[in-house]
Amino acid sequence: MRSPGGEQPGIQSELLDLSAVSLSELRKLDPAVLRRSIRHAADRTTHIPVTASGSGGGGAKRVD
Amino acid sequence: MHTKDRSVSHPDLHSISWDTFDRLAAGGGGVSAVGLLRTADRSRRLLLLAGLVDLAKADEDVTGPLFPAEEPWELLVRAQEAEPSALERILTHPYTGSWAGYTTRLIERGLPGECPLWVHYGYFHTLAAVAAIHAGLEFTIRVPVWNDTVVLPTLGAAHLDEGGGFATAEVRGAAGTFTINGRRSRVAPGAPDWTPLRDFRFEAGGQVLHLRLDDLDPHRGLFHPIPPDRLTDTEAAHWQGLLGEAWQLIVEHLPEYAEVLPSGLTSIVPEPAVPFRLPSASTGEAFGSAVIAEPVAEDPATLAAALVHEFQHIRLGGLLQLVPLHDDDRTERLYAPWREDPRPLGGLVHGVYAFFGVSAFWRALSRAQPQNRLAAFEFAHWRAQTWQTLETIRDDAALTGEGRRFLAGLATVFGPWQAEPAVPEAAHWADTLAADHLAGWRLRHLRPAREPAVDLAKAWLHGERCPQGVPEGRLDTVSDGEWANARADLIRIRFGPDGETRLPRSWFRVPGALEADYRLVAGLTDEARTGYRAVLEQDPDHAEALIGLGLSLPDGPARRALLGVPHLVRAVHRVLREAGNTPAVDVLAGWIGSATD
Repeated sequence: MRSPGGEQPGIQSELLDLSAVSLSELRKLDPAVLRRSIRHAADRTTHIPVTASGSGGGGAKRVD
Repeated sequence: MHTKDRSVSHPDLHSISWDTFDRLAAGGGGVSAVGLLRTADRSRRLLLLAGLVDLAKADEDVTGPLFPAEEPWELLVRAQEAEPSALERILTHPYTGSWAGYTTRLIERGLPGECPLWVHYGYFHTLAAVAAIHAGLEFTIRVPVWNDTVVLPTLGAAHLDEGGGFATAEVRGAAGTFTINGRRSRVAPGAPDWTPLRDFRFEAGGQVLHLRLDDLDPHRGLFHPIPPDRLTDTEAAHWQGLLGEAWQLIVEHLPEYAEVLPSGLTSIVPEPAVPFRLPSASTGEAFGSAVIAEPVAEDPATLAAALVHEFQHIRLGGLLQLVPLHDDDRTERLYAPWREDPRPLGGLVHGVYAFFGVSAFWRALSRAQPQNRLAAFEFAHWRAQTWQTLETIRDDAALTGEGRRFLAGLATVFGPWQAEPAVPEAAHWADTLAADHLAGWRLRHLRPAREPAVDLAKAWLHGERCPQGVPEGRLDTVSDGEWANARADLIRIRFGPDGETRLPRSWFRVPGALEADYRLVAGLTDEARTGYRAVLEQDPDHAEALIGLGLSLPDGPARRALLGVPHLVRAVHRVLREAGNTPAVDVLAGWIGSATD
């Protein structure tokens, strides 16, 4: 990811953009690229990003 | 999003412009920013789906008695080719994301699930069936049956008669119609044993919100699959009415959120009511979904705040898929004014963003309705608590550069709100609740070392002045005792509709409320103090009474100690009791507080 500031136009993620890739085309992507991207997505499932709260309840049971 | 190279063989990585990033930080960005986040989450889901197909190809036990994973994948391919929106329907379904995350964890980490693995995996087969139905395909696919139930995500649930447990059934479809066929039973839409999901459409001021009330999907929960828990028609109508009223409030008072919220919040998971509260929850794996407890009829504003709150979590959850704002350290080390337990930095970043949105809602409502005491209180409360938290974390070393920039951008909008005039009554009770919560947290999570507490007890017994330099406590994530937080509920009752008459009539129904709490919130401070002392004479460890006594005392050493170092007051009192000496708690607190000038 590029660092903030400077003249960079934005932040590049590690997530492959599949918005223009059909399912049938997906399997034809560069296997190494696809494998790396799947691994990145799978690794991020390790932690379940749950937030629980009570915005109207004050001392809510949980807010993450 | 930058799409310099859209060639199929070399797709880009998702990216976000600094302008969009900064707008999101400030609570803006519009529909295009949410669309970007949604598109990124779609890619994430698709990658997980492709990964799950690979995992099942490597181990056929994963799919058990179901068709191999290639079958549902090929059905999805056919559905997309026939009708692209059919694939989008299931890819944008919030619980496709939850399922993909959950099942990936199960397989990759070898975890036991709620059901046999093939039952969990088979959600994929139901997704494929749904896509095929919407594409109008002719198809047959085998799906899992869990306790006689087959849920077709986004559509509904079939109740079969297969003898319970885990089994399979076939979904057969053609031209958009379908049947679900077990060995002994068969269900089609419209049949008594078919339960359709409820979809609501709300319109206010020209703004439309579509929400699905999902009480069926197995992955609608937060951590693991759960069985359907169908609302009655009366309960669903109650939800529909209140959601409509809440939407009306958002459109009327927070139009910038009304514009974007429909693109980020599409599904509500109803949970049972919690007395006097409205807890809600969401997970970053289910973009578009919020779990919300049943609201009370007279308070659509609190439901509106909850919708804004969860929308903020959803937006930030989407952004975090693209941009890490902090490191992965999940040490629970920080105070959160909205939580009972110490939280990691990431939790506070999420909370700040969510309560920034909540503050925006109450700010707008209190401006539009100056007579609304609850709105004034909620705004005073959340803007102060959220700001204080933001100030605490904005320079935390665990933030990334992007994280610091994000919080700075948020502060640019949020900071000026702190100087806006507040109704004195609202400000007073916001301060009281803030002191109450922080003291309660310290009492339960800070553990004084034994030796300093013993030294203080000895000094007390020898009639000495309290030594200067109060010892720090050790942070412990395990709460020392329960925490009712009843005073927060009572304050909200008092400022809610008909609060002055409701409070004396209903305070005793608030879980954990003491009569002294009621008196404190009713403004009967002297009576409250007497009540707290009486409770402490019976139980000097009583956490709510200790803090309540502090709140009821005038400014001075005893109040300072009970609210600032309540854990130490209690620890020293415990030592003294062991020695056969039981001073009044506030007298001991005054002695300790004299050392904290």
